[in-house]
Amino acid sequence: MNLIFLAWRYLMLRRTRAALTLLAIVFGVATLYAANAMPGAVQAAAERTALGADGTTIRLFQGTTGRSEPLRADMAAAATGLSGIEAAIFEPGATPYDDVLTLRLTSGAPVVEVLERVEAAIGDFSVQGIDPRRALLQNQVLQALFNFFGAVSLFMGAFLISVTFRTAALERRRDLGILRAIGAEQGQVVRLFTVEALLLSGVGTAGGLALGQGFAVAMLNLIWSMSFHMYPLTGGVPLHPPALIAALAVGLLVGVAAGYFPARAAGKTAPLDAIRQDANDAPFHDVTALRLALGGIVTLISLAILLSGSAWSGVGGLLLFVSAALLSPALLPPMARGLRPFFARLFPRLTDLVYAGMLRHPWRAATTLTTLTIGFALCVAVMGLVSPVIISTTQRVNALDPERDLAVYAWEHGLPAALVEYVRNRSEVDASSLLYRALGTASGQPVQVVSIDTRYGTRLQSFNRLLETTAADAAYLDADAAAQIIDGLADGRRAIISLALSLLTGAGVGDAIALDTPTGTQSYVVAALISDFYPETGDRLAYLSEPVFLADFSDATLYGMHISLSAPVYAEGIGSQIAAQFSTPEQPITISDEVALRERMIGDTQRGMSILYVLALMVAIPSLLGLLNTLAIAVLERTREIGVLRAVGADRAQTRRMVIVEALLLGTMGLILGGLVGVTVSYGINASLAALQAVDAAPGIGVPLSGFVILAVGGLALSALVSLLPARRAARLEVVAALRCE
Amino acid sequence: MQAKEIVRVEGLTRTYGSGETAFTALNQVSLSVSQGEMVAVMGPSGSGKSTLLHLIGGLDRPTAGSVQIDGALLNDLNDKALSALRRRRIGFIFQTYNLLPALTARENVAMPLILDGIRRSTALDRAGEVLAAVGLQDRADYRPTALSGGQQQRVGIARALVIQPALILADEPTGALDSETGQDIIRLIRQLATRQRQTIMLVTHDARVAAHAARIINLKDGSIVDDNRLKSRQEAYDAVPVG
Repeated sequence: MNLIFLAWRYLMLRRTRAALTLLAIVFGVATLYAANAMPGAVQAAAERTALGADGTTIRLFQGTTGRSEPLRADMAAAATGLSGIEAAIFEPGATPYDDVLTLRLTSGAPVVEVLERVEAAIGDFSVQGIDPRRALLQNQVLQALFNFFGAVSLFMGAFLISVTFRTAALERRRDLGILRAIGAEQGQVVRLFTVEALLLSGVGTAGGLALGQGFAVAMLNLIWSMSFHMYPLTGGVPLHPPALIAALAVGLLVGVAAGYFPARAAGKTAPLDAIRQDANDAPFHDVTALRLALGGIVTLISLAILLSGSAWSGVGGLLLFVSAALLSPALLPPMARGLRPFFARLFPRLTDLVYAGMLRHPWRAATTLTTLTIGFALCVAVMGLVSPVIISTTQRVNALDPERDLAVYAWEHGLPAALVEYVRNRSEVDASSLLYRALGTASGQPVQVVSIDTRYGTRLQSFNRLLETTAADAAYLDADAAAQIIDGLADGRRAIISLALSLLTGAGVGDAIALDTPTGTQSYVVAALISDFYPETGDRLAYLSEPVFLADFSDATLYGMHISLSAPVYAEGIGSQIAAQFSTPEQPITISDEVALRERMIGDTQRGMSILYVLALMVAIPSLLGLLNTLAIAVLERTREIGVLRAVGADRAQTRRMVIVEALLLGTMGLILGGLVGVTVSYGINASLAALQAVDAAPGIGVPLSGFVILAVGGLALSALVSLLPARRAARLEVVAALRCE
Repeated sequence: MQAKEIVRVEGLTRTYGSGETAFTALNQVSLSVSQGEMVAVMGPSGSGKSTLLHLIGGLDRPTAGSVQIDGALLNDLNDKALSALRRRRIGFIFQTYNLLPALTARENVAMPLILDGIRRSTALDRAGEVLAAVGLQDRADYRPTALSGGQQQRVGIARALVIQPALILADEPTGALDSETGQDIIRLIRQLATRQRQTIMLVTHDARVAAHAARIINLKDGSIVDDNRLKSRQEAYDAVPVG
């Protein structure tokens, strides 16, 4: 195409602005690609854990979180006829709890769909490994969040492309007039701009896909490193063709569409008007009634979606961003007037000039305002999404693990007596308790019996999962009720039993359970059920108080010790001394420093949440680039005005400050609008996540005041920082050259 | 044999604005220009010189009246056809050169050809030849900002001539140049156009520039006050209104 060289030349002429616009597209496409590529990899990893080594076998069992009724032999026949299943075999275990239904899937059958078909036929069940159905649910939430960020990011990209081309059309009004005068058709002018947009969005999309793949790899490695389940997730990150095609199409389409409309307007420029008219005085569309009405309607729709807490909150959030873009030109003058007294007090000599310049080009100021609003709103929204999760996790972990605790374990071979002696003689140790285990038998099956020191029981994390009734009607006990049960455990022969043991014996809360012990068969009253397992022993567990345990089980192994220190600072030192003195490769001792454990848990949560922060940053960066872009345009547009100001006596410092104050004013307005939009969006998304039961946090605003203050100060400082470059350019303008500028 | 008629203007009127603020820049102007003629359009500021030139060049649409260029009635042409006419039959030379700053001199000259779909390399070759004809072969790859005013106007002339137009319209082509360079430029335009029997209409304030023309049309308040066909340079000087 003949005009490509001209498009390329124009892009090169405004290299910085082209680069800024390019970056916006890169970030948008990267986020969108990663959003769709990552869940596929997570899903594949989850399916690998569920499928056996041969890749086609999947084992179903009753499980603690699955059905309350045992599996039955006739279910194999029911499953065999289903699409995607080659064979189903029922393998009876020693108890109904041990029954397994093994499915052999036809090669390449969609695992989740097959499991859903099986569920429809036989009811719920547990899956050995990570249940791919559940992985999918979590993925959908993750994907929805990512897509939201990706969409907002691309919206920002489209917005910046559109701004760039509208500005380019303005700046090149004269050039376009010349082209039209020497015979360029309207269509050729449109094509010229469209080719530029295509070049930008093409390069941006390619860069975005590369960055997106890198981003997906980094994020997935983070997820793999955090998966500390019995079935850790692993896997590579192959290129994801559907995500690739979707991001490619969206990136190019958005770029070209955003470039086309300003191009069409530019094409209609009458050649004579364009040659004659001073670009500064070019009429720009004012805030039309249509734009206002449209903005109002979009706002109402988005608020209705967001406040309803429906699963569509991401769409509602995106619409609110769109309405902010539509309404900002209308909101700018009243907001600016409201802030005027404040700014007049801070910058008495510059406020009039700044206001005159800004309100003479309300479209440009509104563009900057929209860019900043979206950037700030995203930061606020992410803060609102992440803070409640981090705060609730931190609180829970802090409550569970007192800082002064240290635990040492040696499950298999037991702790040496010398270690107990050593710990008890240390002056930093306030108190210690011993943990024993032994094997008992119930209904002919082995049961792991564990002692608990009732003084420390409530501190154990596992006791957060105490249930008051039965597996079928599971309800978690609150901390007080759990503490009461643990306190009362030594009151006669009482036991807390696991769900698996409850299913084996049929005993619920208040029932008696018979255990064969070295001292004969003893009967214990079930005080509570617990959803717990020990990786070393399996699911059948009974917890007894230490005195009862020691009275009944003479063959106990001392497998662990809880150590309470006089100050948390000793934990690390004592821990490493125990490791050095007593742990050997043959008889290793696990040392669980509670401070480290707590930090690791909080760290894991924060790392998980950091994915969202990275995403927010990926959108916030283009916002700042957008600010830089529009401020640079402001200086370009006002070159002649700046020349006049300098001619009538404004010094370089005043000129510089004028640009900085304008950036601060726009930043303040962006912060106010962005704060409102961000809080509303985070409320909506939190509500819908809570409705989906995807996260622990309750719906709410969730934006901490301290976080908002940090964002405000940081945002304004960055606004001022970003304005330094155009401010410097403005201050360096030579008066005569600036006056000559058209 | 009678010379071919290149420009035919009848009852041409252009009014800007409406109601009380309406301003008639050109009022019922009729004229005819033949192939190979060099016509200078003169008159005081606001007399409608540039408006006439813009209407003849299809850069503006008349309020009333008609313009025919080389047999094509401009009033009947849509934007696409008008653009094609501009890039194939009319060469514009502007007072402020109006070169595209993003392009080199050669690319600027090649632009009308490129817009017309001619292969870029061919267009650039032809542009190089025309630049050589205006004496700028060693400045072909310079951007406009690196050229002097006179050199920029030579590029403007080359751009107008590269399409071998039937009609060259020059709006104050020497207005931004010193008088000596201005004379060089006008001689160059005349010399190159004469070779191809091209028609030139130029708007000027400068009697020395107008003196190169064989016909001088004087406008005042949007109307033609006189239209002189001249035989000598002295007659040309005499035809220039004083004051």
